[in-house]
Formats: sequence, C-alpha cells, structure tokens
Amino acid sequence: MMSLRTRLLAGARRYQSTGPVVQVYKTPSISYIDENQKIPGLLSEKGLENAWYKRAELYCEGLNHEIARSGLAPHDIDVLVKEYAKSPSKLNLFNNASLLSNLEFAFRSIGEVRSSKTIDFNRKLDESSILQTPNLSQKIENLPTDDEFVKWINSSFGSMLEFKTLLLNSASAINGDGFTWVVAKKTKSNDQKDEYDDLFIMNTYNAGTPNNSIKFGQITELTKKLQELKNEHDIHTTTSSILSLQEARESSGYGDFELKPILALDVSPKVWLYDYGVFGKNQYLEQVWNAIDWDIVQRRLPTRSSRISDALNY
Amino acid sequence: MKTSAQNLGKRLIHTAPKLKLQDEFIKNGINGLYSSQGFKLAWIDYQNYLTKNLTLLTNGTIDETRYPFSIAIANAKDSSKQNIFNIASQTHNNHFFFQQLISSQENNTSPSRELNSRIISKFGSLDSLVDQFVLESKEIIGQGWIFLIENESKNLEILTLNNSGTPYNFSGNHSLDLNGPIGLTELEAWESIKESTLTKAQDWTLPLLGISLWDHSFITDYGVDGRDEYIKDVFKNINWDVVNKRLYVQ
Amino acid sequence: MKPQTRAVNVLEKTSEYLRAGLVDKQPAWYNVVGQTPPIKNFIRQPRFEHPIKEKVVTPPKKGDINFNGRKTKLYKTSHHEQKRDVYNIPKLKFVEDQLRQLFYEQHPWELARPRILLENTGEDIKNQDWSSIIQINKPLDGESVVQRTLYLLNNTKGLDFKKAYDTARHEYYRVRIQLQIEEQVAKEQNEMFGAGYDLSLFESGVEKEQAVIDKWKQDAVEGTQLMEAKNVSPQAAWSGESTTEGKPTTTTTKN
Repeated sequence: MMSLRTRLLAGARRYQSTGPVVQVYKTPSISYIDENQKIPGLLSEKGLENAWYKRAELYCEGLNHEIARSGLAPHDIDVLVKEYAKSPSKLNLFNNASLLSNLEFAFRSIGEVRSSKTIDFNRKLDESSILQTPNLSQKIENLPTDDEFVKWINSSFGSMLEFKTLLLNSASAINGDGFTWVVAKKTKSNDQKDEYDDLFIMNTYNAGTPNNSIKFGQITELTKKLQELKNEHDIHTTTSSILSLQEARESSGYGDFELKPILALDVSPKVWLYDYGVFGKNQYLEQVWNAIDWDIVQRRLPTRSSRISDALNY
Repeated sequence: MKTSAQNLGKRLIHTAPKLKLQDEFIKNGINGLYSSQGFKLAWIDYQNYLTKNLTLLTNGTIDETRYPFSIAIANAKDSSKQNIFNIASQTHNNHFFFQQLISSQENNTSPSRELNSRIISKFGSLDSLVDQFVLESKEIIGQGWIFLIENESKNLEILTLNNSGTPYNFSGNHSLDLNGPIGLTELEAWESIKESTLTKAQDWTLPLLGISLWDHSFITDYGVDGRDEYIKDVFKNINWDVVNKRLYVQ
Repeated sequence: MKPQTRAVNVLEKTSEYLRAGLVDKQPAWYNVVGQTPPIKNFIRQPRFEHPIKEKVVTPPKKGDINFNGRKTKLYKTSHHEQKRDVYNIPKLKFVEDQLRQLFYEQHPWELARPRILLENTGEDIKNQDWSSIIQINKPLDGESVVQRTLYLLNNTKGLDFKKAYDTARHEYYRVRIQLQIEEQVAKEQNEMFGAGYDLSLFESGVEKEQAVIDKWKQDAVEGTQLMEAKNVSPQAAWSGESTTEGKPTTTTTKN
C-alpha cells in the first residue's frame, strides 16, 4: 500500500528562498478595478482585496521565485502555460501561471453591476436560504448586446435562460476552487478556416486550463513510457502495434477539437466568502452574472462557422 | 460524533453537534486561533450549512439515519453519489478538526508518551512536525485538508487531501492533483488507486490530527496569504488529550 | 343465520322482568331507550340511483302530473325511501388525489423513485411550510409538487389551477436540474483529484451479462462435442475414422 501514498518529486513544489528575487511579474492592471478599488454591488473594498489583489500578488511572487530558481527566461504567462502544460518538473511554474492567467481572464470580464436589486453586505444570508424555493422568473437582467452573439447562444444552448441556468449551476456545483468557462469549440480536421461551431460550458478545477490542446495526449504518452519502463525488465513481452481502445479514442475524438475561452467565472471561496458569507455562494454567482461586461466578452468572440448558422437561420 | 442515531425505526435529520466549549468559543473565539467572528463562520455557520445540505441530499434514502462518516465511506466509490460523499466527508472532517481545538492560553495538554515517541522517531521533534505540516500543505493549492495519519503498518504519515477528500479510504483521498502537468509518479499512483478500488483492497488508515485548509477556516483571521501562520497557530491550540485518545495503544 | 333479535328486544325484555319483579330498579338507560327505540327492521331497501346523474330516483308525489295514487310505483315491489345516513357511504374525494394522478400520468418514471413510508408521528405536515418546494423533513417528490400547488392555490391571488400546478412543476424541475448538474460536476471534479470509482450500475450489469454469455459459450462447446460424439456410427468408431475429417468445423463468433 505504500505505493498508493507515493510522494511527488521532492523539489517540485517546495519553495526555497534563493536570495533577492527580481520582480519580473507584477499584478496585472485592470482599469475598471483599479479605478474604483471595489466593484460596487459585487465586492466590497476588502472583498476585492481578498479576491484580486492579494491573490494576484501571491501568484506573481510564486512566479518570480520559480523564474529565479530555475533560471528560465521570463515569458508572458499565457506562453508559460502553453509551454509547460506537460512538464511535471515545472509544476509550480505552470500552476502559478495558469492560476494568474485564469484569474485575470475572469476579472477582465466583469464591470458594472447591472441589476435593480442592491445587496447589503452587512446582512449576509443565513441558513433559510438553503430552503428557498427556486426563482422561476423569466426576466434576465444583464443581457448581451450583440444580436449575433445572442443567436449563437440560442442555437448552442436553446435559450438565454437555459444558458444562464447551466452556467450558474455548473459554477455552483464546484466544491472548492475552480473556474467555470464559456468556450467556443472548433473541429480541427474539418476546415482550414478559423471558424468555430458551438459554444459550450466547462469547468476547470484548481489550476486547470480550458485550453485542451496543450494537454492533449499527456496520459497516453506517459502510459507508453510507463509500459516501456516495465518492458525493460521483461524481455518476453511484445508491444502490440494495434492501438488500445484509449489510444484509438484519443486519436480520433478527444484531440480533434480546439477550445477558445470567452468568459470565465471564479468560484473560489476567497472571492465570495468575505462579502457573502457561508450561505451566499449562489447569491454571489447571480451578482457576477449581473456584472458581466458583455462588450468585453463579445470582443473575444471568434468567427462563427457560417455553414451551420446559415442552414439553421438562427 | 453524534449527528444522527443509527436507527432504522425513525426518520431523522442531520444537525450540527455542539462542541464542549462551544458557548465560550462563540463569545470569545478560540484564544490564539480564532476571533469570535472567525469561529462563528468556520464552525457555527459552516457546520450548519453542511448538515442542512447533507439532510436535503440524504432525505428519504438509506443514508438518512447514518453518521456522516458512514455516509462518506459508503459513497466514496460510487460515481453517481459523489456530491453526497463530498458533503458527508466534509461534515465529518470539520467536526474532527474542531473537536481537537482548545484555547492556547489554557492549553496545558501534551502528547502522550506513546504518541510523543512515535512523533520523535518519525519527525525528530514536535517543532519539526509543525514545519513538515507547513511544507506538505504547499501541495494543496486550492481547498483541502492535511492529516497526521497512522497507516496500516502503524507508522505515522502526513496526508494531504484536496477539497473534501477523506483520510480513511484511499479511493476517497483525493491526494493527487491531475489538473496540471502530470508526472510518472502521479500516473502510477492514480493507476494503482483505480486498480485497487476495483479489486476492493482494504485500507486501514486512521487519522490522528487534522487541519482544515479550507478558506472558511482561516480567511477571516489570517487573510488570503496567512495559511502558513494559521497552521503553526493550530498546533498551539491542539487539545492533546483528544488526539491521544485517537491513537490506539494496546 | 337468522337475524339477531335479542339485542334489539332488550327494552321489551326489561319491561317484562320489571313487571315480573325479577329486576328491582329501572336501569339508567330504560327511559332513554324507550324514547328512541332501536330499529327492528334489518332489511335494507334498495335505493335506485340514476346511473349517470347519480340522483336517487323516487316515485312521483302528490301534485306531480305522473301521480297516480296508490298505483304510483316504480316496480312491482314497493319502494321505501330510506333516509338512513348509515347506508350512505360517501366517496372520499380530495383535490390532492386528482393532482397526484395528473402528476404521475405526466411523469410515469417518478413512480420509480423509491419512497420510505415510515413516519414518526404522521404529523410531519405540521412542520412543513409549503412556501418553498424544498422541505427539510421531506424528500423532494411528486408529493412536494402536489402540496406546493395547493399552497399556491390557497395563498396566491389570481392564480388558477393550471398556473399553480405549472409553477410547482417548474420549481421541481429547476431543483432536479441543479441536482443533476451537481452530480455530474462532483463526479468529474473528484476524478480530476484521483478518486477511485467502482463499476457503475451499467458496467457491472454488462459484466454480469458477459459472465452468463461466457458460461453459455462453454456449455455450448461441450454440448456440441457431446452431440458430435453421439452421432458417431459404431463402425466408424471401431475403424478409427476421425469424425471431424472433411466436416465443416463449427465456428463460434468472437464477442
């Protein structure tokens, strides 16, 4: 049973002080946040400090430590994420870069809260909120402005309400740290054009990235390596040239598409615990929806594949 | 830990248990660790939240009359009941954690002779145990737990769990983090977990001491970046009488 | 069995005993029973109910056009209208039953949801506040939809039956949708952190089926061999001819 509790490579995660560290990475500046130092209606001043400033500082500190320790050339965090998505020896570097990238993506998507209701952070929800009946109101307060985007959402999810419900339910269901993403999916093998077919909602947990193509094939490569190491000791085994079921699936299915993130929701307790309390996660998620800046989100949209939209005419 | 009696003749709901010094803790917090507000959030509110959600999820099922510990163990390997497992395991772990806390000023407890000798033989000293805890806690980059366990060979070990993992069974440990780059050791560990679950291998692990690394437990009093300090302070507030009882000595 | 007459004749008996002197005092119930004597006629008379209109048909009375004096009868046998409430077994009709029937007709698979019929006192409803479809002491069920509908009907102005039922039904769907997403996300999340899962119901069912198929295959091979052995003629066996030469071999398909 000792193998079940195998400790990870010793040097991978431990912080070791190596003297004065150059501050290469600094907290990204987001204009809307830096102007007000709080997001009225969504986060108080202390809440925003917990949610954004302190965390970004923490990740930047980690990045600076890692760069100094490993002596690598500092790159843009997105480049770091792509580069080291399959390098377990650069685990700390990847984690900090990914977390910072995701956090920035999430906080760039929000702006002013567009809602008729105001929340009093001094009166947090109590246990009766668990037994509250679901709100069936069909009225959604913060709607996207671009008609084409609305059409895309309607064709991918059925309706705006279904989209919102699925997004918030997925975010609410995450037990711990993570992000809920809206991604556009493109099938790689079909076209040379840079067009995307449908929108999807996906979750990532802790430091996961929504960009699947950078991590694709990792498990099969490692399994092969593991098999080779085992076969080194055993000369009688022959490696089959027929693909295993997993390999066949991966080569045809999982790797054949690319995801482009459009919107991210941060569900870590660090963001909402201070302002909304233990019972307030769903209330926070509603407010985040009301705070989404659809102009910024719409700017990130890729081109929609015309053959589907023309055929369906919606 | 009595949140519900194992009674097949009655319908029951789960409720948060009352700690021994709960009234004092609500008024003054746990001296050296929690302010009154921090304690209320970490125990009163959070345990209430957990037990209410557990009741709603297990209402009308066989888990209605079981202890959260039993619910967690029963559902750890069932892929369709992971949400029930999460809440049940978290309820148990949170109570486990708060059961062993005492105000640091009135703390004149110490590890028993047996426990002390084991700690010293494995870690060198109590201080180095604390340092090892802080070091190992770095493996949890999100929410989680860190436990001092006694494994089946009767050796002490430190186990880190992600989110609502359980220290009792390896299938529900959630010690790995497969969200980032995966190494060969992680893959091997994962493969052996999957294999051993299917062959129904037994796990005789018992936790002795646990620290909650969830934000709920430290963010109010230590802030987002104060987790290391929080872990060190927990050790000053450990009621070793409770921990000593958890160690089985013949 | 002849009708029991002794109980209803208790008044006459007691009078005779009193006259004869066998009983000294008048019993306490004597006057009361004397004023309201028990019914001696045990024969129930038929009530004629109109099969569609559920109306009790009575013969026409004086003043009615069809009144024909003593000849006014329904049938040859005389008809006495009984006014005993004891014989009227009322049909128990509740609105909840109609709602339940409607709900389970529309959602037949909800009947497959297991239910615990055990109750502590039977007064659970006293602790239930149906302003929400979620209750702490009751699992979410078709019954919740029914109770919530009634609450909405009774406590919301301007809400008709259909709207109230639809509201309750949609609240039920919302909670079920959220629960389903929770299950899926929890499974995915825990897998990302190294959880070990047993075979799902589907997979273990396939395993069991495969075990049966494997056993069948084994039995079939043995049975075929036995059949071939029986078909062997004694001559061929003694001459040493192989029975399988030249014959097409049985092929079994790989599963």
